[in-house]
Amino acid sequence: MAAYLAVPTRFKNPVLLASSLVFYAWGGPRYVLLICFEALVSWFCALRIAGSKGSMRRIWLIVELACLLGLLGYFKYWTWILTGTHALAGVPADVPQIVLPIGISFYTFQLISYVVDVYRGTIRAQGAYWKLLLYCSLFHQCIAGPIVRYETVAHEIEKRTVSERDIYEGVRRFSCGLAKKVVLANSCAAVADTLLPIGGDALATQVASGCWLGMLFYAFQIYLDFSAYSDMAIGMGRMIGFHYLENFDHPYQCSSVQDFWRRWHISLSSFFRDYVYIPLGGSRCSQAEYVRNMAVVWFLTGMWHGASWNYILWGLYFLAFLLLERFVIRDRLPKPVGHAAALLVVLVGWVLFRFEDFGEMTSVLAGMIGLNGAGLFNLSVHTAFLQNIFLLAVSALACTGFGSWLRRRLSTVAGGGDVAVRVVGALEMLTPPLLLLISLAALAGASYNPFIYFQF
Amino acid sequence: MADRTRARTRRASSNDRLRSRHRTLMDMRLYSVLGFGGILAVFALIGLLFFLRPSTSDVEKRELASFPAFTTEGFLDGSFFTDLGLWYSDTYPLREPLVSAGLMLENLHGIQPSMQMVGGNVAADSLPVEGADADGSAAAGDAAVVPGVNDGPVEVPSAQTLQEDIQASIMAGLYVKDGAAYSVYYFVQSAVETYCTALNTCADNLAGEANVYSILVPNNSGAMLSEDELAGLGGTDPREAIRYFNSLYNENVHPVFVYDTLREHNDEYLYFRTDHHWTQLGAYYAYVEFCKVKGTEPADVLNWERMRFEPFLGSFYDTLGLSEMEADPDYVDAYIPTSTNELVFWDEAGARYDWQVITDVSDWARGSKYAAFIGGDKPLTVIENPTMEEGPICLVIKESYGCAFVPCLVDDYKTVYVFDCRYSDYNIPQFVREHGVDDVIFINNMTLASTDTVAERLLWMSTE
Repeated sequence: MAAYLAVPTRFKNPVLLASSLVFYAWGGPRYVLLICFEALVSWFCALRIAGSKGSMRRIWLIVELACLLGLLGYFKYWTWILTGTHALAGVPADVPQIVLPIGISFYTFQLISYVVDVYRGTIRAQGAYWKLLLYCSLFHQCIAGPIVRYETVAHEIEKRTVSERDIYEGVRRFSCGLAKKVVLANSCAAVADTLLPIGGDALATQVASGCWLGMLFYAFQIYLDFSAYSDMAIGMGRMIGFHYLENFDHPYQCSSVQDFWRRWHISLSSFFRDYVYIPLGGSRCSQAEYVRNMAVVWFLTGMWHGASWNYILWGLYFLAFLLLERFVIRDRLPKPVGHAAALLVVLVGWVLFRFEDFGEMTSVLAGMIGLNGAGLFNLSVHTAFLQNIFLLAVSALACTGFGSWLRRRLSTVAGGGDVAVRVVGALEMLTPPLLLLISLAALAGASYNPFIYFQF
Repeated sequence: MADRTRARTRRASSNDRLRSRHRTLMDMRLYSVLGFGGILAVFALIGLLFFLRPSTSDVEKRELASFPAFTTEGFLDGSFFTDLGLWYSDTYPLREPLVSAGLMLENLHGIQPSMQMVGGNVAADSLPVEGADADGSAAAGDAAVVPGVNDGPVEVPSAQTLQEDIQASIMAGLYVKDGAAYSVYYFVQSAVETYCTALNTCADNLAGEANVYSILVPNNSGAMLSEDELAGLGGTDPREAIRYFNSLYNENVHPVFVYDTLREHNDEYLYFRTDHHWTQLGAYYAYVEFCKVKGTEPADVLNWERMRFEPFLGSFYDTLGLSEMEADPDYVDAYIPTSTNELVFWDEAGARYDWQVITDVSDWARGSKYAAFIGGDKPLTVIENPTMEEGPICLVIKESYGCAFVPCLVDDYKTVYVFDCRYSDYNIPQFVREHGVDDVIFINNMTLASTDTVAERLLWMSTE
């Protein structure tokens, strides 16, 4: 950051690229070559598409898709596919364990969106390879999204300005994201893992209230964690003049399952909408084709989240509810009922998402309706509930738009007088440093690992 | 005209005020950015103070991560950087105050009920009908092959694996009531069978040469809680579990059943409330029971010179950090044997130390008071009784529960040898023969005896 601020404008992008690649290399330097290669293929294909006519454009697009999806398939799904064939037919004898390169799902989709957009003529091909590499490797969003479209940042890669307000808002957004991740999401994860540990037999003996409470904490964890990464990416981007689009819009305030997906991981949903669903015909087609289009999109959405059948099941589970809403419910539910029903669908969906092992998944689902024979309540769940009751309340609040609403209200109040502006200003001033300090303490607290058997 | 001028002046002054307020707000935001950057810079600078980086943590009682060794493979697969990050955060100079602040933050997550159950949901194996294991092999007492137990070479668990395993067993399922924590016992079939096979193997190898005794110490919940409370905790009935252990022993192992004795005295201070160990009073009642089985007169331990160390806040406090515990801490009473207070121990590196049976730990950290007994857990400890020319010799194989028990034996034996089964590499039968040991006493907490890694290690040490 210091180097970025210190260098003249023309060196800012090279410094940003170098720091992004170093950051990426931290997780395994060999995969830097992969991201460089994917960017090279995309840069080359996009230039060929821009410089070709007729069927050649399509051929270069196919080359791009085959290459990037092939690499994604190899790194993300090959082990899973071979594990399946090994289980079914014993082939191959030894399943190779391929390590998943960090962020490959995100930057592959970014590069595909870039080349497809060039093919469609909505953006111009980038002439400089290193600028395309900068786009896909920008350390803010390369690892955990959002899936930033090239058109969103094309102009800012070439020329960007940073206002005083941008810097403050960026720092503030980053510190909110950091606190959301390390104070709330990590704590929710600890409770969820205690109540519903993955692996082992304890899961089968969890009481019904424990299953529900565990899944509630997991639902908070997954939203707060994921949206925190987006907050930090958006914040860091803004500090240096990039304006990324929002990736979440308080999804747990949804009024229906469809509304949930309008608010959840927007950059992924819109990717599938623009590059799969609409090209297949979208909703302006026969009912059968519509169902097929939706099935393809939700199968892919599930599969994108991980190489395991439970993710595909999770995608198809949402497909079923989306079709139910479209063809049976048709907006006829009163708003509160629709909201509650959507939350219930999402919460049960998280069970499918959390447990890759189908035995564990069914055990928790059975536990939630009291069919695992463990009973309804026990002291352990009661303790976990009371010990985390404030965490639960704050996490629930953090999932709503309360924070933004409060800030808007305060901003209105600040216009009312000199004292008000000083009070609101003090709040604005203290929020980011305080959140940073609290986050550092929470990070350290999480590493507390007393070892009782260390020799006295 | 004058009105218009006044209006214009008012508007201008209102705009000035708005501009000034906006500037105030922007200035404060600027300070915020500077404060944010300043905090990051200060923390980064402190991180560079390599000479201040600690290597062990007193609070956590563990060694901190060490600087990773550089390897090309580690560099390429990223593990070097992961380890570097771990080392950086683990040994960060300001980590302990930050950890304390973090733990305070965690306490704000909710309210601490006076009665609670923590440590997750643990599934115990169901307790089989007494003595009727799968093929009756262990009960037959012939050190026979038990599938998955001694049907092949046993990989000896390292001390680190043992420690982690033990820590996980003890801290799984903690019941907290009125500032005292109780660990719940969960039966683990495979470990119990291995443990009993280990003792049977040892006793068979030493048949006619030495007596082998087994003392299984219940967890504090088993000894101290009412029957109803205990039953309500889930877990396994500890009394039945100890009976099951005992049923698997062959005739060469002499079980010492201390469970009922401890329960008879459970209105006394037998276990700590903030630590997972027992007090020396608890150990004394087990010693009396041992003497009954052995047919000897117990020493008058409770009338020996007593030292009291307080306050003591042990492992439960370390894990739970409850203010109720801090307000009402434990104390450690230790009784000095009349014959000697001297001992010698060897550490894992083989270095010899002259030490005391009961060490004055008044000045030690409040979490370390249990280390008053025989200098804590060592691979080999030897206590020579100078008042005896000739006399019996015993070998105690124990984990930390045995520390409070060993001092009770000092006056009764010419020599007391002690192995901590987690750190000792000796072969028990060979050691017994070489040193003319008469009594081999296995004394372990029943949760530890139900831990696979501990049981496997004991089997390895018992097999010739």
